[in-house]
Formats: sequence, structure tokens, C-alpha cells
Amino acid sequence: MKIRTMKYFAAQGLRGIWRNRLMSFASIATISSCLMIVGIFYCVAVNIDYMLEILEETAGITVFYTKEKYNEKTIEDIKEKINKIDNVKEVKYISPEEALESEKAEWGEYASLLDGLEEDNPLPPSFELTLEDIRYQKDVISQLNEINGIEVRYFEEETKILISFNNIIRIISLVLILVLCFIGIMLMDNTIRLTVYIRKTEINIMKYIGATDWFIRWPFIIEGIIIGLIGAIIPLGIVWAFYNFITQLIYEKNTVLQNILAFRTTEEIFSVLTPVSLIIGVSIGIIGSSISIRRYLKV
Amino acid sequence: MIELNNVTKTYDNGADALLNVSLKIEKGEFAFIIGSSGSGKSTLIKLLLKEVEPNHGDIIINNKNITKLKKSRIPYLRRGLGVVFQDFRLLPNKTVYENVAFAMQIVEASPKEIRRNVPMVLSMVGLSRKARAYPNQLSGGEQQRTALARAIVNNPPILLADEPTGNLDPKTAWEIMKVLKDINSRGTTVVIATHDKDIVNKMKKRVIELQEGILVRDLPKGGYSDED
Repeated sequence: MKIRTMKYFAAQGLRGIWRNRLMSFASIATISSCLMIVGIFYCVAVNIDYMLEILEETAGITVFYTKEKYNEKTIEDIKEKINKIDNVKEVKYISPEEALESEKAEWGEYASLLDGLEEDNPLPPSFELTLEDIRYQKDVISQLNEINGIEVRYFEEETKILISFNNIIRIISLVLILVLCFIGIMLMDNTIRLTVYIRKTEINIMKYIGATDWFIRWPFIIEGIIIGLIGAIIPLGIVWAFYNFITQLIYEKNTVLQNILAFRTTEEIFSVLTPVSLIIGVSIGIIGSSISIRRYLKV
Repeated sequence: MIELNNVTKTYDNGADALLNVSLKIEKGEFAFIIGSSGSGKSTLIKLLLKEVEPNHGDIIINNKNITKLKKSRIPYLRRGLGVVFQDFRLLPNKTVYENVAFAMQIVEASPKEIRRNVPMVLSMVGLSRKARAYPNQLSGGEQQRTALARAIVNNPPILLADEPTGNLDPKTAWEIMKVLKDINSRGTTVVIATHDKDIVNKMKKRVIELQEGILVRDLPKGGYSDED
């Protein structure tokens, strides 16, 4: 294909969009809202995932050794037993001395109240577990419970809520995206059909002069691609602005939320969201116009 | 150049359009296909353009049997066949020049070729001074000249005309016939479907007559009907 021919196709595509601007606008709006939802839900889902990840690290499972007597060998034994459980990423032993140190650090200015406990340390030795994935928490705990002489503590409710919230978000967004993509394709089909109708005479003449099928098709496909691209860029811009705004607002103003919530950076989010949105937008454009061309152009 | 062997075309509604027609038109010929409406003239043109498929028989154009031509090859067949219609079929939003240049853009001719060939064919059909006019600013004869210029700008070996003078007054019709004769004298095979008795009688060219889909007459220098 020659460059001037591509220019011709692009010019025809743009003209098609302009000639039935109302339908083009409707298609762009539908694709935009579809990708806006993709964007919003993606931001939410990714950040919940991120928070779960942090939770895995900070609020994993803590195992306390409850028997009075222990020595290095029993500690090693238990550590090994825990390590053998599937999905356990790391086991960290915390001796009573270390535990006391960290307690003191937490007590801060009142740390002196803990003075003297070194002689008769009431804190038991413990292990902190990090899991491969917090979704396996239940399995790991049931296996931990089979080991003698330990007590298991973990954040069950918080994990459950986060996981189920994430699942709900995923299902809702998937359904919404599918429905909106479908509507987007239908509207695109209509838009292109109108252009085909407007250009009916021209197409007929082109066929008599000997234009190939692809020569006739390309302007319509390009029209679809342009609509899809515009429909992708608009929500990307909006989501970008809002994401920046909201994360900054929370980080700057609201220290309470800041302790609970953690956010991926805008760059991290958009390095995935940008190509995904563009691909979905362009795909809707191409699929919609292809359906139209097959049904109404009959080249 | 054009050859039909026992070609039969029956439409889906059962109407016979052409029945067992065989004919041969040589390179450089000027031939009229005549007959009243419904005689199968238009069907014959459509068969040559591969707009419709024959039920039986073979059609050979430029030594190529087009009966079994793949659909994707049809555009290339049509590039070898210039075609004009009764209703001109010009693009209203393009000037005379642009309408003609459009035919060259479609076959991806270079801008240089376009700049050279379009003025040439426009002067050949006598429209140089109207190059910037739009179709609605032209008379019927000028519109048909534009259509002719478009049909020959890519130098097709064959020119098909389906009732080219049907919408024109006799004087203008003659001017168009003169242009067609010019085109023919430069080596292009010209095939005209018409029911314009006057023109056919005066031109004294080959006449192929169809009646209800049957070839009834094929005379090298004929008139419109036997009585003439």
C-alpha cells in the first residue's frame, strides 16, 4: 500500500466521522464510558491487591510457642515443620529478647515501665510467617494447628473482607466491561453503517472503476480505529487526573486513611492501563466496523 | 477481445435474460447491441462486468475466461473495461477534474501520472475549460463527457457504454457519439448498448440485435431493424 493511498484512507476516515458526527459522538461516548469503568475498576482492584500484599507482609500469621521449656533444638524443629507447609514463603524466629526490644520500641517514652523484665521475660518465643499469597491463609492455619505446643494468631476478618471485596469488584467490572463492549460494538456498527449509506453512490462507482475490496474497506476500518482511539484517550486522561488528585489528597490531608490505605503510583497504574485501554478501544472500533462492512458493504 | 459461448442467464424470478447467446467482438471494433427494453442488453453488459454470473456458457475477455474468475480478481477485470451509464454516475461533491482523477487514485496511479493524464483526456473529450466545474453546473452532455473521460483515463482496452445517450437530446447525443468514435479510432474496442434507432442507422457500424434474450441479428454494417 502506498503512502498517498494511506493518506487518502485517513482523510476518508476522518471525513466519515465528521459527516455523521452525532453517531460518531455516541460511539466515542460509549467506548469512553466502557473504558472509564475499566480504568476505575482497574485502579481499585490493583490497589486492593497491593494492600493485600502489604497485609501479607505486615499482618501475616504469628505463631507463639506455648510450652514452658524450650531450647535451640525445639525451636529449630518447629521452624522446620512450619517451613514444610505449602505456600509459606518465609519463617522468621523472634526470640523473647527480640520481642521485648520491639515492645519497648513501641512503648516509646513509657519503655522504662518494662525495665527489669529482662530477668524474667514473660514473652514467649514466636515465629512470624509470610505467605506466598494471603488467599492460602486458611489452609496454612489448619496445618499449623496440627503442630503441637503452639498458638496461632492472625487477622482473619480483615483478610476475608478484602478478598471478598476484591472478588466482587472483579466480577462487577468484568460484567460491566462485557456489556459496554457489546454496546460499543453495536453502536460502532450503526455509525459505520451510516457512513456506508452516505457513501453508497461513491462505493458503487468505485466498484465499477475497479477499486479492490480492501481499497473500499480501509476508510471504514480507519474510521472505526480513530473512534476507538479517541474513545480510549478521553477516559485515560480523566482517570489519570482523578487518580493523581485522589492519591495526593489522601497522602497530604488525611493521615488516618494514609495508615490504612496504600496506593500504587500513577506510573505503575498507567503503564498497564494505557496499552490495555488503547487495545480495547481500537478492537471495538475494528470489530464494529468489520461487522458493518460485512453486512452492508457486500464488496 | 470479447467472446461469448452459449451464454444463458436466468434470473432468480425465472425470467430469461439471455438464452444461448454466442458472439465475438474483435479488438478495435465498434459494435452496437440493440433491442427493446427487456431484450437482455443490460444483462449482457452486466455479465461482461461480472456483476451477474451466467447460468451456462463461457465469457472470454482479453483472452481470459472470466466465467470462473475469483471474486477478488473482479476489480482487476474491471480496470480493463471502461464503463459509462445513462445516468452518468458522477460524484456530486467532486469537480470534473477530481472525478476523473479519482479513477486514477483508485488504481494507485502516481500524482505525476494523474497530473499528466487527466488534462489529456479532458481535452480529448472537449472539457478542458470545465475542469473546475461541479457536475451540477454542467449540461447532460458535459456530464457524459466527464464520465467518458473517467472511463478511459486508465487506458482500458475495452469501453462499455450502457445507453450513453439515453438522457440526452439528439444534438448532444451526436456529440457523445463523435467522442466515442474518436476513442475507438485510437484503438479502444467500443461496445454500446442502445435503443437509439437514429444513431445506429447513421453510424453504419456492427449491429448485434437481441430480442427477448435471443441473438436475432449480427450484421457488420447494419441499421436498427430489417425494414431500414
